Amino acid sequence: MNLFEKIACGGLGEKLLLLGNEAIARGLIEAGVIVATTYPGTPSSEIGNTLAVTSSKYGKPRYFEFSTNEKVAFEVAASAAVAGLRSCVFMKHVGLNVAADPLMSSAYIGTNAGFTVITADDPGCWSSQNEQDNRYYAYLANLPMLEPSNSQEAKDMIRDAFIISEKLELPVIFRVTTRVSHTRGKVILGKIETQKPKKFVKNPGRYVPIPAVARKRRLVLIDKINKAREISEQTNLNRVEGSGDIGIITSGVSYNYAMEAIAKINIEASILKLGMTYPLPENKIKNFIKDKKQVIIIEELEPLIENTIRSIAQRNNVKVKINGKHDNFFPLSGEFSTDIVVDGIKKALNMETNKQMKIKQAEKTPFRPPIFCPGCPHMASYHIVKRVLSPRTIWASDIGCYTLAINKPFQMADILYCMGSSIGAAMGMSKADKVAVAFIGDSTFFHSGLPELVNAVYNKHNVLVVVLDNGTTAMTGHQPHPGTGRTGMGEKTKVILPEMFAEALGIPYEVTDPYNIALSVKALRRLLKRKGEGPALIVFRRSCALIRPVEQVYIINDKCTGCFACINSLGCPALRKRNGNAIILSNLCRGCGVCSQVCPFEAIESVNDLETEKKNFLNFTQ
Amino acid sequence: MIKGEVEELNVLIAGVGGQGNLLSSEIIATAAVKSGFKVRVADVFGAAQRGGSVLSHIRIGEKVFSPVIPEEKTNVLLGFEPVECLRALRLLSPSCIAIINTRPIYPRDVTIGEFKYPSVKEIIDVLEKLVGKVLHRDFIVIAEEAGDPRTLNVVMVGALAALNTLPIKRETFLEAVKEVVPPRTKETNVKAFEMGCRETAKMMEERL
Repeated sequence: MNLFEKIACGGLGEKLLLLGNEAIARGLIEAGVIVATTYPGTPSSEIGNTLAVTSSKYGKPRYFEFSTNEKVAFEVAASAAVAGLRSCVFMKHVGLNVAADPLMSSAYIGTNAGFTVITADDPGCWSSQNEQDNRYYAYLANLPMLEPSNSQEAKDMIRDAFIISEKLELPVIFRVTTRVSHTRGKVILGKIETQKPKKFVKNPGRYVPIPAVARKRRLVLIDKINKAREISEQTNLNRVEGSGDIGIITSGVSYNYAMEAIAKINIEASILKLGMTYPLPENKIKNFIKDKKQVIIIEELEPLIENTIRSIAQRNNVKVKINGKHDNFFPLSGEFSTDIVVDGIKKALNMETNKQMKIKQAEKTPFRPPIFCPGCPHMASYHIVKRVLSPRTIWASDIGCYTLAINKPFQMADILYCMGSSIGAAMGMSKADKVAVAFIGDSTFFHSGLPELVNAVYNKHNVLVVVLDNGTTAMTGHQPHPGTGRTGMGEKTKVILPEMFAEALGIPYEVTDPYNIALSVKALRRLLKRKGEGPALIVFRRSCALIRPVEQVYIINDKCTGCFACINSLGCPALRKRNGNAIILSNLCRGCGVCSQVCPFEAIESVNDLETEKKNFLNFTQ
Repeated sequence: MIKGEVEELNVLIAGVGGQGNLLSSEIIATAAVKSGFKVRVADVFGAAQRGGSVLSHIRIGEKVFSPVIPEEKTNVLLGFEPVECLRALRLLSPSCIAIINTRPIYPRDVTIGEFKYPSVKEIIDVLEKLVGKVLHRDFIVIAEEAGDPRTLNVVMVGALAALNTLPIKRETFLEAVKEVVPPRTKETNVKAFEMGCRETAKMMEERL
């Protein structure tokens, strides 16, 4: 039995070692979720990767899709829940910005069957453009929120989320962070429930929030969130552990650091562990803090719990020393660690902190940023565009592996906001008489590039749109998208290509293979000649190097003069300098042959005898 | 081998994306669970598929909560790449045992000539000053002998098993290897594990 089968079918009491995200997937299966939707985004990606397999092979959940973007995913799942099916939508933190519009209305409309919105936040920006604290969305939308601390809780609390959602007929926000999503831990499986669909009764007076309806539903929502507060008071998800006159209040991953910090400093402390963090249990908190000598609040990112607790203390006239971020004892940015929490608690307790880094050596080590993979078609595409266009061009970048073109040797990323923003940014830049090019990946193009392209045509923006089409959602782990002809459940479907839209919109376009540099340069020049007022679009189409088999490799012969044109124009990791010449590490080479087209001296040639070459590469791995 | 209830044991894998760190951490954690321990594993990495620094934190014991190892608490370092070991220094305990593969993977700044890669000797010297014991050699050679240089990650798990620092039997490690690696690579990986074990045991004898 492989892991996916165990996640889909494993029985009550079975123990598995699961990633937080895999535990969430199992939690959804145990809760009998029927419809699950997402747009891939790290740190949430593995939930979708797991459900894609469990739904297609084992029918759990019955329906799963990779939607074109998070807003679409939200609407599909939310409405399936209104129609009576337990549903879930999940995404990374910034994905919820895209889905924020229906999120706000779904709080008014409410739900019928249970509906859970999972957001995976990224403190420390490990794989994101910001570290926004999505707990604010619970406050903004007035939706109950749960936060697990580890894999076991990530699974178990999904069930709680659905129970609360159905009790209140409200969506529930389930918030995890990178360190919960990407930590493996032992998980004891529970029972897989089957949920009967609920009946859907037409009710426009509830489900269609025209102003007259919305005003009424706002009052209903206020009433519901008061009921949610009662749940928060009673639930064991918010519980006191340990004893002592120092009170620690914490939630999510920070709970783990707090537990170790208390042991490390060796203090007697009483911990209020909050699993339901919106609405907060006012009475429980009041009773917890009132007889403490001091209260320390430990939470990553924004001081949300802290603000509420300071307000509860003030309103209830509780005079206790409260410490947290407002005292600068804990940092506002980045992930916490046991050491950071130890330091913060010591500062709050006026204990001596002996924090000095004994070892500075690590600072002398060369930085190792992520790089383009060997043979990545994006390297060729950027090289082609750079060859044709002036270096003064403004390069608007987007979210995907290709953002790595910010680095040498390309340095072709001048502005970036979010998914799909490249075309919009190029439009704005062009207004300042700049020549502007938008680089956008295929999955990103379908996600939110489309309305931008329509705007470029409608408002006659003078921009060049470069679609880097590698036939997959590469950065998050090769999920399918509308251009792949395959659904999240592995079924065949219509292939939708970016150039179809250029055709429909009547704008000039070209489709080219970036592995053929000469033809691609010609295609781009031809397009620029044809381009009049308004946008033009070029598609560089070549599949991601990681999912394409290697059929040949290239080597450097004795014609190499050591000009390093190959390294300087492509920066492919398979190319190296050695003894004044370039060499190719044939264990890394993917056989794309782009470097052989860049070489001015015909010094790079292909070798088809892979086996012999593989034996030789040992000499080359530095 | 440490007997009885384990309070806290920390293993850190320092490597580069693409070296198979995540598979190694999964094998070690699976073996720990099979041996009845509470375990937490955090794989700390960035956005791209390949090529960046990756640290895998494997934490075993009843008193473990945090997924990441606190400063100076690492008991065993498995260094898949020399420079990555330096990056992990602040996490190593003064009594830490470090097993290091000496074959470097040059970062981009080094290959384009903007940064000098420290000599392996310098790296080993620094580590020997700061930790309890350092075992180092070119483990890629062993992986190649096992049939595929990509099995370096499993060779290193074999090395860990040979150390006998963790309260996990070699057979349990082997079971975990068989369970976790892709089925078609099982034979090569089992060989890699056994060779990693044997060669490391030899290195330890030579030191005595």
